Amino acid sequence: MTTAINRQQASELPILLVEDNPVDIDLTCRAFARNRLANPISIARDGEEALDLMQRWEEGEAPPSLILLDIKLPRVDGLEVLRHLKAHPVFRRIPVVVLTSSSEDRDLLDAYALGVNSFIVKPVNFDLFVETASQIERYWCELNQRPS
Amino acid sequence: MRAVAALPSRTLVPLLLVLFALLLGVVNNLLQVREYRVLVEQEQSHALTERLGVEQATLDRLIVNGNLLQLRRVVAELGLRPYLTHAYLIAPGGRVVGSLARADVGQDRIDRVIDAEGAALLDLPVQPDQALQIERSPDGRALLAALILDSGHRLLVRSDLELPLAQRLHASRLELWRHAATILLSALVLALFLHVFWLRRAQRLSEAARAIGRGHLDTRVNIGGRDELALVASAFNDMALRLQAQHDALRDGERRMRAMFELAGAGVARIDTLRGRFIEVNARFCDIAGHGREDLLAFDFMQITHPDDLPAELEKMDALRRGRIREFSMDKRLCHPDGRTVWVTLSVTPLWAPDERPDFHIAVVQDITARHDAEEALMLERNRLRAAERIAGLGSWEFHPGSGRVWWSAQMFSLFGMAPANRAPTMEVFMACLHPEDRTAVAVVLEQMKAGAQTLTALSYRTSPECGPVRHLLPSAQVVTDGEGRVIKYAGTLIDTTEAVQAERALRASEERLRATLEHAPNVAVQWFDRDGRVLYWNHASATLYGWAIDEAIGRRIGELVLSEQDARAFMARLESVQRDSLRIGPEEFTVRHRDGTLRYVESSTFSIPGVDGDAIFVCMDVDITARRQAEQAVEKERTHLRTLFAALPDMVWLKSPEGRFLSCNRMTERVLGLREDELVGKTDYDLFPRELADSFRAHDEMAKRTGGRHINEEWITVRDTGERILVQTVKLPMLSEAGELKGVLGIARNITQLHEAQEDLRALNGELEQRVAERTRALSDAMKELESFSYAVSHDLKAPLRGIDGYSRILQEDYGDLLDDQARRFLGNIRNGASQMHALIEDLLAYSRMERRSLESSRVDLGELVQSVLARRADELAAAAVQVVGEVPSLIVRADRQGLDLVLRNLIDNALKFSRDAKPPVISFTTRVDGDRITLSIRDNGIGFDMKYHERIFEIFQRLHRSDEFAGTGVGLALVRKAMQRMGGRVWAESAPGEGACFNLELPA
Repeated sequence: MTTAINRQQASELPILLVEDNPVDIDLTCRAFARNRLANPISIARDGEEALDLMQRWEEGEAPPSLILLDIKLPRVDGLEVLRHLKAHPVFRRIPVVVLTSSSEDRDLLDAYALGVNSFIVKPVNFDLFVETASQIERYWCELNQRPS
Repeated sequence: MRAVAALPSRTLVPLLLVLFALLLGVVNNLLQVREYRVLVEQEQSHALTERLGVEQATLDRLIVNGNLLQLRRVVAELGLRPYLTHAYLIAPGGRVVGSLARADVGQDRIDRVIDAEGAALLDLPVQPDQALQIERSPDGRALLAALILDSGHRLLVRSDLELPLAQRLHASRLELWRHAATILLSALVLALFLHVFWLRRAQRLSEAARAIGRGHLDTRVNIGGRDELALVASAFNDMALRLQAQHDALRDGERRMRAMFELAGAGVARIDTLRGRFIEVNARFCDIAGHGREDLLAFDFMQITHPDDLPAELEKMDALRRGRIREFSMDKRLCHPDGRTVWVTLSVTPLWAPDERPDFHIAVVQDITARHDAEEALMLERNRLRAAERIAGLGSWEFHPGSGRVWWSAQMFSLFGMAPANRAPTMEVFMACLHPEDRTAVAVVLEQMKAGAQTLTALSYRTSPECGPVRHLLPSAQVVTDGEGRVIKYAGTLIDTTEAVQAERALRASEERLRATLEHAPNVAVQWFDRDGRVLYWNHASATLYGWAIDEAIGRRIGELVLSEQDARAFMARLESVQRDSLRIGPEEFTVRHRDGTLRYVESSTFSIPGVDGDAIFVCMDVDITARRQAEQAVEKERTHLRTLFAALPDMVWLKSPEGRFLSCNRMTERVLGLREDELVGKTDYDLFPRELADSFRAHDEMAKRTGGRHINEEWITVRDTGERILVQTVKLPMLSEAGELKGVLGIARNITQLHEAQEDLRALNGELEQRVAERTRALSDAMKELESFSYAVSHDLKAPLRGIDGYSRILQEDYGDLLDDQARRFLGNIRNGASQMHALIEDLLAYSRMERRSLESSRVDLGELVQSVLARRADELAAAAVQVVGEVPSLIVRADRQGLDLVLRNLIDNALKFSRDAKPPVISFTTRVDGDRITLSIRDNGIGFDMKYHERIFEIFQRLHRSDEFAGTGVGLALVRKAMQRMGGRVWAESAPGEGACFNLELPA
């Protein structure tokens, strides 16, 4: 079983977007697409789906290089997903960026308590959103070094 | 040797000198003789050498010439030279060519002609290198010489040494004799000189001294000259003169002493100090002692001394012998042979010098028997007088104006605190003993006495406090006159009247005190009346009681002082009954009437005391008891009140004895217990209540007794007659007498049944209320939770559609902009603005809601630093708008929530920026003020300002003063500021006017 994340593969590995709102999915994809970056974006529409994906990674499927996680999700919310991820001995190394509308203190404290790597509020203004997406990808997929 | 030393010095000195000189001469001579032998040998040796040196040349020449005759002659001539005994000229062949003796010439062998003395010449060793050789002969008596001539001839010569030596010794001896003769002559001359000028005079001097020594004190010496001897002689003469004078004086003294000794009025004896025996006694001593001189000389002084006086005398004699005293005198008694006792004064003087051994002493005795008897008689008399005076406290004195002589008896001295003396004190001492205030007056009397006045001022005086306790003295004097009426003396006495004076004073003081006591007794009115009812005495209390002043009352009759005729008659009747029966009436209570008509209560006593002239004086003593009576009435009234109160009290009140028996109770107790007070008294709790309850009551009683204070308990009891159960609260406290003794236990019980029920109701109500509050709180907390989830949902869900609106509008603009006309594009712009506005509103609302919900942390925040931090974060905007920031906020520590205060400052600075955008240039100024524990920060801008009538509105949520196309905004910012300040315990207010800028003030606790 191969679960190791190869450094060489990092730029090609997909970015996993966990988001339930189709508008946000579309806009996020567009925002990332605008930057014409290499990583493909795979999507989980709720928390349960994200947890199912973890199961598949266990079975050998390549895990994503970055997970963009919304907090308010149907069924299993983002923080629960985060808890599972960060409790896993291997997948805990995958950087998780919470990308959400709210900047409630409660969410911030909880997310950081669970070991989130980054917490970013989705700007309402689309131009700013595009800019933010670009910075996230550049930072996490290019600048940031991860253990192999 | 002894004989030589015994010679007089005048002989001895020259003799010694001669001997010494002779000794020196002999020694000198002996030393010289030892040297002569050497000297003679040297002289002869030199002479021989010289002669032979001369002869050598002559002989050589004659030998060469062969002139034998001449040669013989020359050799023979050598014999002319003194001491030369042998001379031989010997040819080389041994033949004698020349000699002193002619017969020897021509002899072939010298050894045949030479005699014994000359034989030594032949043994003279030949030393070829020396022409002339001289040596002493082996016996030392001659010099031997050998002269070797050139021709080989030898000349042998012997020169005698004995002769010249003998000649020299002879000469020396002659000189010694000459010296001795000279010395002897000199010694003779010296001895003569000494004898004439010194020794002869010294002898005369010594003879004179010897004569003086033998007692010829008139011896004088005259030796003339000016040397030391003459000075000694002069001193000697002076000494002799003095000695003679002393001797004469001594002899005169001796003679006089002897005469005095014999003729003295006193008895004188010389006594052997150690044995006590009489050595000499004079006639008077014999008279006094009553013994003949011969008898006395066989006695010692102990035998004639009275045995009683002997120890004292022996003791003194011992002290005298030991040198502790130098003399003594004492009165002692002698035992006269006829049995009398003779009183004498003995004076003893030692005859030895202080450091000598005691030998003799002189005892002088004087017969004082007569004087002694007289003195004893006088003493007896004087003691009697003194005793009499002392007993009488009486001193007697005399004063003689003529001579100024004063005599004082012994008592006089003690009156003035002096020690008795023989002489009266001087005037100054006497005056000093007088009381300073009396001195002048006494001095006047003394002057009268000095002047010899016939009458004297009688005057008593006091002694000075400095001379002991002050005494009062009363003098009396009697004038003694001569026949012509002149005053000879004043004789008088002085009596100590101190006690009398003091007694009188004490009496007067006592009377004064009594009078004062009467006068001022505050409540006791005292009056004296005579038989007719006339006032004799009236004290202050009487004046107060009756309203008549003292001077008004005295002398009036009773009828004038009392208001009614009846009272006057009653009073007189009392006086009469007192007089008749010699009674004391009272104390009885009366009501009397004051001058002003008011009634007074008095307790009055009447009695009589004897008056001065036998008439009785009636004394009335009235004690004003009005106040007491009024107090009693007041007490009675109060007691009635209390009794009523006690009876009417709605509480039960009772008193139990310490043993637990009821002593009294009030009406309420009667009702509850169903017993009358008289039935209750004497019963105990056990008679009234079940045993258990009674036990508990008794226990509470004991508790109150033990603690000494209030003891409270609550009990349910049953009311006797109704059977109703009531709850009583009982207070028990011990009743103590004034002395602190336990008198009983007071119980007060209140029916608190209703109160208890009310309390129960209240408790139930409270429980209900608490429950209701809990419910409300729960509801509130649910609402809060709902609000929280609402804002959470808003935060998440309301923004997503906005993002969609904005995002798709943007995509439309970008991707389909070409397909849209200008109006459509403007619409898209408006859609995006709306979304943005909506977003801002949501954010502000969330912030406001967060501020409401958040729990704030109160911490120490540096205001200056925080303001700087906010300004730094707004640096770009401030720079873009070219804002001038004025004033620096100092580092002040305030108590606030850092995040909340940050939000407040951010909002106010953003507002200032926003509303002063048109000012040229925009100015934001900061000022701070510290006021006690409050700190105020003011942020002022020069923007458009606002009308103060909107002051309250601007702090309300969603309230705006401007249209959003003038100034963008949500109307939440200042509401947020106010909320934050309120929650941090501070406040915010603004000052402004339209167009004048605005000033926002933040006040926070320090």
